[in-house]
Amino acid sequence: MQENQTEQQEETQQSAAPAAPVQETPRILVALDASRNSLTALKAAAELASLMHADLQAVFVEDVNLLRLAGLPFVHEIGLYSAIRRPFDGPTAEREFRMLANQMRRAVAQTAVSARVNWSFQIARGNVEQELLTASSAAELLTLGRVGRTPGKRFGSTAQRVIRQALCPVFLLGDEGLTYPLAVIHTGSPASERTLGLAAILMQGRDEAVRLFVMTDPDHNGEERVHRAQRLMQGLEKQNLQGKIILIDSREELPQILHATGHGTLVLPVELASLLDTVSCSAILVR
Amino acid sequence: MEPGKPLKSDELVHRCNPDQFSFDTTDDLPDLDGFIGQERAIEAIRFGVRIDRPGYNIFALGPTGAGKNTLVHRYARARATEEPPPDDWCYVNNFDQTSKPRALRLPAGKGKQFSQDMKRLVEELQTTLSSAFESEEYQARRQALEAEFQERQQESLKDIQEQAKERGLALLRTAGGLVFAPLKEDGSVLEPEEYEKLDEEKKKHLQSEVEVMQERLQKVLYQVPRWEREFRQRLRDLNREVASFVLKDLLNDIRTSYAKMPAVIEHLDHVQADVLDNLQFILGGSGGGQGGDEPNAVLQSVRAGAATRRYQVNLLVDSSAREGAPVIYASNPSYLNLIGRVEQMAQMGALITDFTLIKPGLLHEANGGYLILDAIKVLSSPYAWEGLKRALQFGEIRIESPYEMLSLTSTVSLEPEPIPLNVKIIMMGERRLYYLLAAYDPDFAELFKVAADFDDEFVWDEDSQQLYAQLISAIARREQLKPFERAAVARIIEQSARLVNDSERLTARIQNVVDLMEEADYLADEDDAQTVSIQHVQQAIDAQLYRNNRVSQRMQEEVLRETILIDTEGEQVGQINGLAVLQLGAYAFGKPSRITATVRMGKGEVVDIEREVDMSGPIHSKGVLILSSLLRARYAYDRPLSLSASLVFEQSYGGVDGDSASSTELYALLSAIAQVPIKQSLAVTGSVNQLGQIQAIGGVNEKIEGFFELCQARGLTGDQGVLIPAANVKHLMLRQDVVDAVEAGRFVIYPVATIEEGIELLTGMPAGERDEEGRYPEGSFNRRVEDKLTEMMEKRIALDRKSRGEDRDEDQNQNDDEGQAEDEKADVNE
Repeated sequence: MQENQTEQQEETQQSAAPAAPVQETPRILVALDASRNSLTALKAAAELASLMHADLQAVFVEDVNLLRLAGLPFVHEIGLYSAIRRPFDGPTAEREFRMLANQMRRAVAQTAVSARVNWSFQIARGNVEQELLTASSAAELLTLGRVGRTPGKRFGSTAQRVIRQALCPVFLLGDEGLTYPLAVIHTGSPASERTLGLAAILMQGRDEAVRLFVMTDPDHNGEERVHRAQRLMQGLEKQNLQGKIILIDSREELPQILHATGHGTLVLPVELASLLDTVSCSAILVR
Repeated sequence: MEPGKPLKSDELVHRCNPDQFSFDTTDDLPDLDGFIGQERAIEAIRFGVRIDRPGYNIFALGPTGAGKNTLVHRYARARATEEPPPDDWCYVNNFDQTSKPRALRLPAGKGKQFSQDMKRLVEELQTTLSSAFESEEYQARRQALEAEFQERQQESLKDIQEQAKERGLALLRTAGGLVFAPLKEDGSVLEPEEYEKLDEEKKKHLQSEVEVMQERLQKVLYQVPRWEREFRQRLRDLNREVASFVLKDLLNDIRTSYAKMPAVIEHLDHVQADVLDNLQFILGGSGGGQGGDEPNAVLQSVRAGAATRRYQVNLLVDSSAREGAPVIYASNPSYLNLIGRVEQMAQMGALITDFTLIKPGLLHEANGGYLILDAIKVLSSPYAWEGLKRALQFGEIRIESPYEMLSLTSTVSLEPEPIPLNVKIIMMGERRLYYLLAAYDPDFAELFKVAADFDDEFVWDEDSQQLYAQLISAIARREQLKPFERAAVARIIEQSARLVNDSERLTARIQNVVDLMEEADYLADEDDAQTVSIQHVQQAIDAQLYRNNRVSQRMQEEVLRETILIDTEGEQVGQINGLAVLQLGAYAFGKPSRITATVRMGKGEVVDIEREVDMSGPIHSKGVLILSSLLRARYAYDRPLSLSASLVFEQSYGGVDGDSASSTELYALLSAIAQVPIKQSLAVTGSVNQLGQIQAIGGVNEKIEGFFELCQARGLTGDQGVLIPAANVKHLMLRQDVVDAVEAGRFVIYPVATIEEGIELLTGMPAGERDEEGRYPEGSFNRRVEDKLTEMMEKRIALDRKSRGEDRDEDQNQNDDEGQAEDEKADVNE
């Protein structure tokens, strides 16, 4: 019972005119943990919220594991830089959480105001993934950093777990943030179809082409491929997108081709999530 | 000329006869080669510019417009072309002590090349170093180093994580560090309650496991900074290795061109060492990578800029385009302009400076040559004179800010290495300045040993007249004026004599002549004339006069309206017309003044009312004392002078000075004594000595013209005229209208050598000379004076005798009087 207990505090800020009830406005959720990537995620989330006319909802999860740990008498915190051993107890953990939360709240307020979006800031306490998944259930999109605060990693464990379970698209932010030209990957799956819609939102007000990488079925003959490409062109036109179609035969050569053509943020269906082990850039995974 | 007799019209002015000239207009004349007059000054300048000894700087003293500037420039330039161009001077960075930039001397023209070479070096340095650091070889080596460091770090952490996992622990991140969390079997963190439920042994075990891991983690983390330092050091070594290879090649090219200049080679060695020490700044964030952590892009670009500035060359003196030694005229010789300055620039809100901001002064520019200065400008510019003297005394230019000297500012500044100074200073100024400096500045005589004394005027003779015409021709060409006709040239020469008030001299203040010529040219232009004629010159002279004569006209009006009383007709006893000269700026004019004398019985004192009220200067007082002693010596040498006389300049409201009215005053006094009237149609000027001789005075032309104008305004009668000292006849350069009036017999000018001549002209009576018995002849003026004085003396003696008798009576009554006097006193006290 106790494990599932969560405490929530929420603060909502209407920075524009009093809008319609919160439920009706789409929400962009951003997970914050004070890491560098999570701040990049905040910025990208604010941009997206502005493009999608959505509210920005920021969540900071106080990791319950750390609090539990603080209850153990023999646990010490080792300073990451100084390597000094300090006692780690309940009050210390609480104080650190408060400090980080304040820091995050200020960052959210500042970013949201300059992007002119409504924002809310929520502090949750519990298991990080669980809390994020719960919070994201009502969101249009979840944004978070590729790596968290534990050093020595290229693809954070929390991010990996969240993308496996999230119901909404997940935007994973690397250091570079949201960049263009967008590279959209199409496998033919239903999720792939939705990548185009998302790309269209991200391309609003931009007069440039997206790169559409199309995974072909090796069994298909030339005519079928052309047909598929034409169909995708129509799909692009329907979304008012200019696009450049690149046909790709095998999944293995995708990282190389991506590297060779150069690209900005990836928009890909969730089944290709493992691609992110080899390609380190910001990516939106669409379910 | 015969004293006492009217002067003829041709004696009133020295005409320059145009027929003496062989040219029609100045276009026919060659330019003047050399100068007219000023031999002394020219000799001094010639000597001064050639002698190469310390302290032999030149002070050219003389009136403005005497051609000092032209002459000094000409001789300095002539000498400078024979001399080699001076060496170039640069300031370069002092890498050991940035606040004391080094001065480098290079042969003329080499400085510019060195500056360009270094500029190119810096550019090439950046590109070549960047490409070296972008090369695959370097990148590969660097990445290997980085990867090694990263891996070392990650491996050790991964290792720790794995060890922890083996012990059932997880590594978690807190706000400031890492903690080990004991895990339950399902992978979640052990809760305190659950921990409490464990048995003691398990608790101990768990505790010791965490303890062990914490220690291990600490060990690993302790090493990270050391690894990082190690990594940086290895990266630096790699960078130096790559850079020194590139640098050696770049610098060798430059070294060969400056092989014979050890100072430059030494500087290049310093540059090489410094580049290797500062690679990260030179490359900015682009290649070295060490500057890549810099969060502030602006700061980074500033640093990169500053890094390349370090190797620049500040070329202070560039003689590459110079032929011969420099001759510089300082139009604004302020301290900073003379000595040079260290400028500052604002960077991110702070004022900073470096050796590239050292700006040369005039002394740097003129070093090895000649610097021409206006004394008044140097002296009136704060600290300029002190700075100049210090530079000359020590033979070096040391750039110091005067603000620092006065502690007005405390910003960090530079102390550039002083540059040796070898310059000839030519200072120009008025005589007054020269003598003041000589009197009050003990250093002056040491530093300015050559005085070039310019004359105000020179002799007017056939030769100089011809040269003057050539000068006028040269001026006309230089100033792009129309050609001057022969007669116009003659008129200018006459005016030039008038300017010095002397018919035998011409002015050396050429600027006045230039002004006149320009004005005449303007009038000719208005007339659409092709050449400048005598009429244009005359109009220009008249116009100058008209522009200046407001005050003299006003004064004359007041005389005509009889506000100021001056008679020009009739006769009066004890009253005479004197003549004064007033100077307003450059314009002088004559003003008639009434002088009156009264006499009464007395003890022989002559009261100068002017002096009594301190309105006269010492020379005027001296003149009055001379005339009173003349009076005694001439008329009362063997008896007491029994009169008192008062003399006054009527209606004078300012002071008077000068003795030019002493003869005038004497005439008035004698007239009052003899009760003989003086002709008011005449005005008198001239000083008198104790022997009764009339002596020369100044401003004779203005005085005559002043009286003439008044008489002319009232209508010339033919009786009117002026008595002038005979010695002044040579100074006459009168206006044409005066000359014309004299020629027509409507105005007279008498030269007078003695008092007697004056008396006869003024009274119409013979003056009279003493006969063998020592008596003046009957009916003469002197006899009347003597008789009057004798009469007064006798009356005086009689009076004295009478008063002595009364005194005796008074003595007898004294006792009675005293009592009465005391009563009166008591009344007053009440």
